[in-house]
Amino acid sequence: MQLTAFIHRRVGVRGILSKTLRVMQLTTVLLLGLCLQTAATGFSQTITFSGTEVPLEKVFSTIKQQTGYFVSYKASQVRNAKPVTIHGENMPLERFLNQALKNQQLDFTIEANTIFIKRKNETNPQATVQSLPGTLSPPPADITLSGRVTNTNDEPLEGVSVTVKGSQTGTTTNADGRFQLSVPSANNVELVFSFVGYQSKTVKAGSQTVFNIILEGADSNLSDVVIQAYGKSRKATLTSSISAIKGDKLVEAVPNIANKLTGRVTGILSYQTSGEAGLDETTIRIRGQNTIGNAAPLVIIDGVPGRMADVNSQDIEDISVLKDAAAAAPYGLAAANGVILITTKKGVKGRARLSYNGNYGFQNPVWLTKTLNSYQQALMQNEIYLNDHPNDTNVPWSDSELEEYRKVVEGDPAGNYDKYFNSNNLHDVIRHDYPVSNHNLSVRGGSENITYYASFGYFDQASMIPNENFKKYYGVVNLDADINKSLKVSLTVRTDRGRRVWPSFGDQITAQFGIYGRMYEIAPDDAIWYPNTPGYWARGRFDFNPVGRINTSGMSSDKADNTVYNIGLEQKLPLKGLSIKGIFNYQSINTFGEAWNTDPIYWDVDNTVQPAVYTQRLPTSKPSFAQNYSRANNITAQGFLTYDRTFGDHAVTALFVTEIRDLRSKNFYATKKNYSILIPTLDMGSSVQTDIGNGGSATQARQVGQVLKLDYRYSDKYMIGFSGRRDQHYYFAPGFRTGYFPAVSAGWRIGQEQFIKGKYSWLNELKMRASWGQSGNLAGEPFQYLSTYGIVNEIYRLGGQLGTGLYERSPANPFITWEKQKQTNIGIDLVLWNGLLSFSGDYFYQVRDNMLLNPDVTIPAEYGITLPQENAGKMSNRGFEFTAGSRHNFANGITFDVNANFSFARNKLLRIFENPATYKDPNRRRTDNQLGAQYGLVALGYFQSQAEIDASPVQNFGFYTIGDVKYADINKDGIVDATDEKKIGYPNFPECIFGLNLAASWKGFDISALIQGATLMSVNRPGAAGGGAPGNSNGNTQVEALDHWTPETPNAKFPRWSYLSITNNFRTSTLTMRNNTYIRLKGFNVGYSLPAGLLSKVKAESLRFYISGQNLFTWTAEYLNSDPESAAGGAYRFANQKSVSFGVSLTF
Amino acid sequence: MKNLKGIIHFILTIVFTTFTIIISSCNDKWLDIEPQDRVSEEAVWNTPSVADLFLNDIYGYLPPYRTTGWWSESWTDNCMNVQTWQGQAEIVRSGALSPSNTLFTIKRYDAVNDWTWDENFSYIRKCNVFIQKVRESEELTEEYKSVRIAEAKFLRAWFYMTTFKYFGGLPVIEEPLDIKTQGDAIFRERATAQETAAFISRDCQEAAESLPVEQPEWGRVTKGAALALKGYIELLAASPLSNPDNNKELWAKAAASYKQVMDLAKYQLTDYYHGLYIEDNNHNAEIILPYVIRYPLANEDQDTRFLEDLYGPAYAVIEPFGVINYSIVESAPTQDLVDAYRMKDGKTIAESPLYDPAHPYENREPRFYESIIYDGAPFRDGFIYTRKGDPYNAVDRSRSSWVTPTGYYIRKTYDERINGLLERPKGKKNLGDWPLIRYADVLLGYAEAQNEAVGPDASVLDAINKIRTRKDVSMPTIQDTYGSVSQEQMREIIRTERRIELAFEDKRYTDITRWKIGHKLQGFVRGVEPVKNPVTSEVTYEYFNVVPQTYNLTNDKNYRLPIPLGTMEKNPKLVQNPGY
Repeated sequence: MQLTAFIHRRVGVRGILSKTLRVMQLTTVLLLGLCLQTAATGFSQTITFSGTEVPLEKVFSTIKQQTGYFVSYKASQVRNAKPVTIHGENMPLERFLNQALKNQQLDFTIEANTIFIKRKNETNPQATVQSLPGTLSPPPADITLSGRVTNTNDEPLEGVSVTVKGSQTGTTTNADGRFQLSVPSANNVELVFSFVGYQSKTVKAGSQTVFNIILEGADSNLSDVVIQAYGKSRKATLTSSISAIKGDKLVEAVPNIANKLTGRVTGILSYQTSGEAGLDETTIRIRGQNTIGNAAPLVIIDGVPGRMADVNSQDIEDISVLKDAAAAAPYGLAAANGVILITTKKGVKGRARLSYNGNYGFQNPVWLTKTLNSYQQALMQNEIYLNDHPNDTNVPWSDSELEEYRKVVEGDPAGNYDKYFNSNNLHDVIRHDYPVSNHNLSVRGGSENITYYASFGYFDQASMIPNENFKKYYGVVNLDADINKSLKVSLTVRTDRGRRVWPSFGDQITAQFGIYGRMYEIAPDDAIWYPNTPGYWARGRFDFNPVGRINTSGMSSDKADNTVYNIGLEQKLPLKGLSIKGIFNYQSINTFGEAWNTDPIYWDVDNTVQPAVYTQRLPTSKPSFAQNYSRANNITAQGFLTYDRTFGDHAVTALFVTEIRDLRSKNFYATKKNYSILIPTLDMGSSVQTDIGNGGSATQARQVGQVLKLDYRYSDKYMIGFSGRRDQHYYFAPGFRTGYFPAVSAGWRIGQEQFIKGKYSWLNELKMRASWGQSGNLAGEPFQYLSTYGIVNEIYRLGGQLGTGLYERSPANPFITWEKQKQTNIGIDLVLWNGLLSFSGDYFYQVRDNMLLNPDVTIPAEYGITLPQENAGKMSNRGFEFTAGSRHNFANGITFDVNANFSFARNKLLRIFENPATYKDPNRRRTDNQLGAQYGLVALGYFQSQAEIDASPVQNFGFYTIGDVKYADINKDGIVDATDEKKIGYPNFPECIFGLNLAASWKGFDISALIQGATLMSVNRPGAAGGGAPGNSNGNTQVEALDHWTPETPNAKFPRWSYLSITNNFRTSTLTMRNNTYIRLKGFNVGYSLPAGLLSKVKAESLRFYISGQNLFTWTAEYLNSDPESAAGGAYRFANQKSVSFGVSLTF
Repeated sequence: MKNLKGIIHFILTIVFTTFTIIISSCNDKWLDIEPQDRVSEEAVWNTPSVADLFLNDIYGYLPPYRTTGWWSESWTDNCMNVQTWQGQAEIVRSGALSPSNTLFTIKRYDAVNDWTWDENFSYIRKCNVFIQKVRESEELTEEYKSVRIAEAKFLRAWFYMTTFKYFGGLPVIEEPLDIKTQGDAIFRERATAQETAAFISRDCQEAAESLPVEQPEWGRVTKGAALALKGYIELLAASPLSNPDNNKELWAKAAASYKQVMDLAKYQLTDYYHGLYIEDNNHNAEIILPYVIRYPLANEDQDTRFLEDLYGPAYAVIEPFGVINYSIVESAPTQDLVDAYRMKDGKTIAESPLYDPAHPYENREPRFYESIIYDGAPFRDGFIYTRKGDPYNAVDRSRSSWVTPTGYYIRKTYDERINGLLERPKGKKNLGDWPLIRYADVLLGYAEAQNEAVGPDASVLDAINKIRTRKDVSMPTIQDTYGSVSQEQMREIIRTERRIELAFEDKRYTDITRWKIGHKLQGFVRGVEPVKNPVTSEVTYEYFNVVPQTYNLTNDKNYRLPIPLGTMEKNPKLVQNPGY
């Protein structure tokens, strides 16, 4: 009972297990030795067999096994054959066959390595003939029809049934998709090609004798080969939960593919928190949030961990999202958050095809926050001043000043544009219609023995911030070569280079104190540009005019070079189906950053004189310069032992992989100040000791793992799989380093059962799947098992020396280890009417145990230090996801393809550290609630009278009066304070994401759209002006602020405004929570492909023109005054981009 | 060909086999990586120079006073926040604090945040760890242990004092808490205010016994610092808030401790009142405990002391640039403080014939001119005008800009050679050490304690007179101004003297609470709007209320801060301060 052993983690069992695995390793070695021996002897042509009443098919498989000869026969004939009784040792093949076919209506011939079984006494045999590639010898028949069947991706299809219409004659294709068949006469013969998951095709033979048939998938869910952990599988026989998407569905080029999966792939819940060029980040979660700690999925590129941004979207062949434990368990300790597998394009046999795909487009922000103009702000400031100082006439703006503001806002020519300004932060600074372009050139082809794919990609994205720009270059060479029949070599060199350039001010433009954040601080009455002197920009509040910063604060850049070298050798071993493979992967990441900081220039205005005098302010200080460099080298080595073989109806796949990883990184920086010469190199600048600085750090990481995968299929109807991994990781103490992550899965293709297949021809596929397994998650940080001291530099100056400091880190937790997750998954796959309708649904239930938590809430604040994390938490996460699709080709040439997907996940904290006060309070209790649930007060509106204030419980959040927010006394203790909080709104992460993909084509025209949305999510938007009253020095005020409490508007959106500190009004409450449900048209493409006839004149294969749009329309459930996706990332986030591009793709 | 195949098979198999064997033999050792950014336990406590680094870190938590507007001086009648959104001051002043509505807490490097319960206890833990580990070390010498443990005790006392002055009685924790060995004993009750003060005082006493009068390294605490801190904590304990029965022995204790500092004869007042805070005057004989400015040796981003760009006038003339935006004003002096400054004859504005309401800034005492920028005051290469209509510094009553809302700016502690905001991006800062304890504190503390314990004897007069007759202050002595004074008169004189001498040094809030004089702040924060008559050029002064709310510090509960709800909920043994 190995299985139970995996489930129950007990020390004794673990010992046995590790022994078992060690034995397995040893076995591997022995096995290899054995193979060597076998290789020396080769196959024999004699058979040793002993059996009574053995079905003939079994006999054939024995022959196959022992001799390696392929036996070609027609199942229907053999099925009715008599069972065979033979006992013999080392019988010559022919004698054996004679004996086996004695008394049968069958005969045989041997051609090369193939044994053809045919009906006896057939003068014009309609027998099926099957042959290996390259050995198509003419069968004894009148006319031979032969050919090859592939799918649309040029991949050979094995097992396609080829029948002659109206007769019993037929065959199936071999592993290379080839078939051969003899018919009496080609006239009036129609061949029917059918294969599960594909649309059947009927071809008239006519005079044609060689057929190259391309079968189109009835539904991509079934026909595709799905990439899974350390291998691939046909979707039809898959037992685990994997969402897959073909690279060619991701038409638009994007710098980070992460942003393209949402709405296209089920199980992915995400939102894009920033649209900044080169920094566009997506919070991506597979099946939602299932842990408090690190919840990011693992990304595997061509078998090795990587980052999604490293791959050119145009080079992607497939993406698989491994969702359930059975799919992900081979990744062991990194798998619990799900795995995203990216496979790049490989070469295909055939002539070289040169493709170009390029587009050029324009972008704009999805939404720019609308703010008050200076006249509105001045009015508001007066109103608020009078609120605060009821009997004071000293309002900030006199009537004449208000009038001046009104004039400049309305563009009145009589306005004083030298003195009264109406700037509009974002709009005055950003660019519109800034370009984005993408070019990709690739060549793909191959001969019999060598295939190649090479591409070069270039991506260039400007930003709405002038002078900010992101460029990315990609290059890939994928080479696969058959050195001989049994040895394959694959070589990959993949490189990408990102270069981001931005104005030096602020580390990131997105950051609160970066340029984008600062734009919100320029109040409308503060000039950005001087209207009377075009091209002159003002100083801006505290010297932060973003225009000045953008143009004259110097430039920073980051260059990141990432190169991956991958070499793989695969050797088929003489035992059929057995092969070994070694992969060595080296990744080198170098990033180089520079920042040249100069003092900005701006213009001041003296508007006390007429005409106003504008003077330019020159830099008052010398520039400074900083450089940093970091270098990371990651080595991954994998060894594979694969056994993949079919014995009649039995198919077995076994895989054993060993993997080691070693990752190292180092970095350093150097800075220099006071440059007299305006040349940014470290040679220049000041040589004074205090103007120079440097520093650096280093890290190292290591991991060892062994993977075992076993799959068994019976006649493609019943599937069962086992997978598991043993992992060891440097994070933890010896003794807590080793983990085992097993999973089992099973599938039943009910649709293939005779009782359904025969009855309901419209039902192409009905499959039930179930899986259970365990996987891990690396959370926290390394070395928490050690008691160590941290170093802090330049902490204090004693005796004139600037000293380093040491501080006590959290005490050691020697027992710390990874998080474990158990996941159960039940799924169903359905294909009806040859793909007119397809459905795939999954229900999952995950329990994350050993979850790393800080126990700090359990100790008093006076403890003075945080405790180490403990594997103490537990949470569950359950949900369902489905995708439903429909596709059909109409006779008139119209095709359509619709796919809807829906993912829902809801988690629950089952056991966390929580202080008794909140635990005992059912309203504030975190345990048994969702992670990401938001807590706050329940707002009851505003106090409308003093009587109402007097009659209400005291509110303990500072001063309040009429017009201020009234909160509910939830715990009924007569006082409203923080203990009256309860769960409000939805969690801060969407629980539900859905997408609708629409595609249609007709006569060369194609159109597609992606509509994506998210719901069950709330954002906390505390105020109209960053948590304060409008028009104070926090800068801009959002337009909604106009809708505030006054005696005339008692139910407004915001409370009364005051310049006093009314902390009562800025608590997180139902008033500040906004429903963040949105639906947007995320992608829209229209294309036209020129007809082939026209193209053949220029020797082109295809030419398509297209227009592609992104984020074109957005609908939000509540008015947010911002982009809903970036709003979820927090204030001052860079809005997402909407773009329209024009492109062409051309293949020769 | 057959051979080649065999060879390839062989090589591949060998490669794979070797690989597998390597991995099989990859036991835990291969995964034993030494962390590269941290130091092990043994390495720290056996070498004096490494153990010192731990203490360095604790020194780093001494408060870098006045780095932004978040300082308790803004909660008092001395100053107020300029910007409305910096609502902290109003929250405290209006008595709106509650366990659910506590103060902003901003981490170190950014501000004085010494009212944060949790943070202070994390510093206290550091001291406890140091004391325990050094004491237990078998490698460190007794001499080393004696001095360094004394330093750590001082620092523990400092952080306890800081917490005490805001919250009163505290849990007394003398060892690093350890949940593994102590279990539920990690939950401690608060000691009474007197017990807590006695504990802090004992720490100071023990520190003073082992500390030398002079430390080889500038910045380390000395015997004088320990005694001065002892005096201060005893002064807090003797003050009405913690000593409602006015036990005179408590006052006598404080006086005795301060006397010990005076008797060291190591410290004296410097000649230059203003110069105390600038670089040229570092290491002067008045400093008992400095916060040592780290810049320019430290990375500028980490440094703490922006002054000239946060407290100067909003605009100033700086040649050759002309009028520039000089500072982002975060805190501005009140009319009330201006009125507290004496006339140059040593009398109050009410008492002195020299005071002319039409020319309120004439004939004031020297410290006024050193500390306050008023309408018409010289500054740098020009003058500052806060009067109505000035294009730059005219009073902003709406408090919506960075210009003064009161008509005044702070001048004290500036190094006027620094170009404010102009130089901020380049990290140019005032490199003067910040005096955490200076000799004037000791004299004022002594005078106050001695006056309360025995009355205004000669030593009390002498202490106050020393302050009033500092070379560049040079005011008449108390005797010359008033003749003889009663204990009550002396108390008021000392309190006002303390307010003026220590203005903007973050002592005022504690003085108000410990004296329980909130009722004296009744009224409004006032400012002035000077108006110049265009015809006569006469300037008149219109006084106004800067905020419409009055102080609300009369309720006894407001003399202590509330313990935040989160902190309370984590330790069920904590008892909230009364009234919250």
